[in-house]
Amino acid sequence: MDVILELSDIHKSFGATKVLNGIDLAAGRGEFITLLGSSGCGKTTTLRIISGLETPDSGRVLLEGADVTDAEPNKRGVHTVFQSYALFPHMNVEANIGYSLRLRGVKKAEIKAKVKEMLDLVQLPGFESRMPGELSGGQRQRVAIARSVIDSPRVLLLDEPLGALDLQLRRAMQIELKRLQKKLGITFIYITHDQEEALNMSDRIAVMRNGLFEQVGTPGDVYDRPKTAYVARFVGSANIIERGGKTLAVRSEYLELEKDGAGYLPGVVKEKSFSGGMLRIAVDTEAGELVASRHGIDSPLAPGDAVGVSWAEKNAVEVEPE
Amino acid sequence: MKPKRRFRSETLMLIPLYVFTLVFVLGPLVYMVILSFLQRAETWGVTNEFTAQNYAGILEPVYLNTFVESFKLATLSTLLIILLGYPFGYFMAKLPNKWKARMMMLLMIPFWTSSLIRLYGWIIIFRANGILDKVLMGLGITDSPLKLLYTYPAVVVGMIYALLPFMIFAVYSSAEKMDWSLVEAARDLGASRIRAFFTVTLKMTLPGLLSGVILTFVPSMGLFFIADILGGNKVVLVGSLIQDQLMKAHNWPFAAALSVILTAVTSLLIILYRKMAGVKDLEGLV
Repeated sequence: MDVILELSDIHKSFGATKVLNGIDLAAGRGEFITLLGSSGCGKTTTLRIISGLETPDSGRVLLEGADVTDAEPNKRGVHTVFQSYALFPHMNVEANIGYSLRLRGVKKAEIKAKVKEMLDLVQLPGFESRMPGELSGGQRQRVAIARSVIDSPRVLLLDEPLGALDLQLRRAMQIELKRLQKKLGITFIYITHDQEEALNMSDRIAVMRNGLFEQVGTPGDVYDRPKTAYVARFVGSANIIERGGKTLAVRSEYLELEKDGAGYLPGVVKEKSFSGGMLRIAVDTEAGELVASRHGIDSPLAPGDAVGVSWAEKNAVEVEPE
Repeated sequence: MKPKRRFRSETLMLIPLYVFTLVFVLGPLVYMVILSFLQRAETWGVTNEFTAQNYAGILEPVYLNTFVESFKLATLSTLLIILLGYPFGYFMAKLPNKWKARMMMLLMIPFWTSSLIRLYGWIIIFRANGILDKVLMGLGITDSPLKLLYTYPAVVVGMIYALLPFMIFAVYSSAEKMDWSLVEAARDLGASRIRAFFTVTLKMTLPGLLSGVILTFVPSMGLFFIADILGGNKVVLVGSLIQDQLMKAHNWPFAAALSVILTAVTSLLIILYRKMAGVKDLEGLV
């Protein structure tokens, strides 16, 4: 792998709060890496350390082999798409997108042409003279992306860029962002707390928790072969079952329920709920509450029914307990 | 249905404001303009004869010069106030909330005392062998008294002292609302600290800075008591001139004409500032 960005043993505390506890990461050229984790896990801090808006307490940041740990943010060739977009409200779309080129003293005509090219790329042709206040959330998002990629940064950092958009727009933008990334060939470090988004877009996912990477791997790795109970629950919404001294992760669709049967575990149906085309059946067992899911809304089971819970051995993944 | 009703009640609530403005702002203004076209009576008051004599009088070098001097002093004071007040307001906005409140308190405390009395305090500091001279000579920085009282620098210091808080407040209120992630975005996109300041921070705080300029420049054209107290008779400003014409010479029409011109000049400057900066709403001002 042609490594473009390397983080080694990054530690960072704010006062008494330890935010990062030894982060290691190597990102390849043109790779799409997602940092996935719940809020407060240290995702944004990691991003800010890469961009230079924060400096780590210890550890190194290497860009194309050069140590940039203490380099100013403007000397890194790394850009960020902020969660709030941070478009300059006093500049029109053209001035916003052309900002980085203007700083470098690129000729006006050249900037104008390049901005036009970028607006075509993000499908906002003719938006040059609009002010950020006149744009919708999705349009601002596109302008922010165009502004960050116009001078071909070595790495693009995206801090929950779709967080403020509604669900439909999010889906559309996921596809569009992925397409853009492929086309530009820029390394993306992408932050999200939405596992579906991470699974959809990434080449590799780093699942983050308490300032550490629990697992770094392809979407297939983290979804099908989770290393820890946390990853199994966070990414695959899996049931964690302690059995025979082992900790097993079984995803809800693999959990089999047999009415009045024995199975591996006896249980009682607690409640049923329907969402997203799936019926979710919660079962109380001695191993705690387990959730099974089925397609369709019909099920012969009703709350209060005694069931035997089982699963195929191949669908149970042994994971590290929490 | 509702909107019409609400419109009426809002109008009713605004009536006191209109009455106040008419009686206490527009009324005196109109009176002043009328007065400026009348003639001074032999003994007291004015005669009801129309004349443009008062305005012609202003064109005399002595009076024109007063305008020029006032303008120079106001410009100098305002520049110094920007240099001191902008960084002050800017850094104050970056303090933790607890410290913001404390700084605000410290800035407010002087206002509890009349500004006239506070200016007399400066006399004690500035006069020959006063506090300033004693300190400077005690430290061996100067060997003889500077005798700053009744000099131009003393007036400038007085202006800065009296008007600096207004600049600080104006800049602070602008910087306080500032979204600092914009500065981070600028840095992230390749701007040095200085470029980020000039392309983003300064632009975003410009409304505050400009209201600060208006709040300091306009009064410093007219503030007469600072020049009187700290400048003696050596520094004559438009404000002092108007006051002298009104109180000592009892030439009301001429004082009114001077006031009309002063008001016109300052209004013109305000319009110019706004045009220059392309700022629609100024912080705390319309």
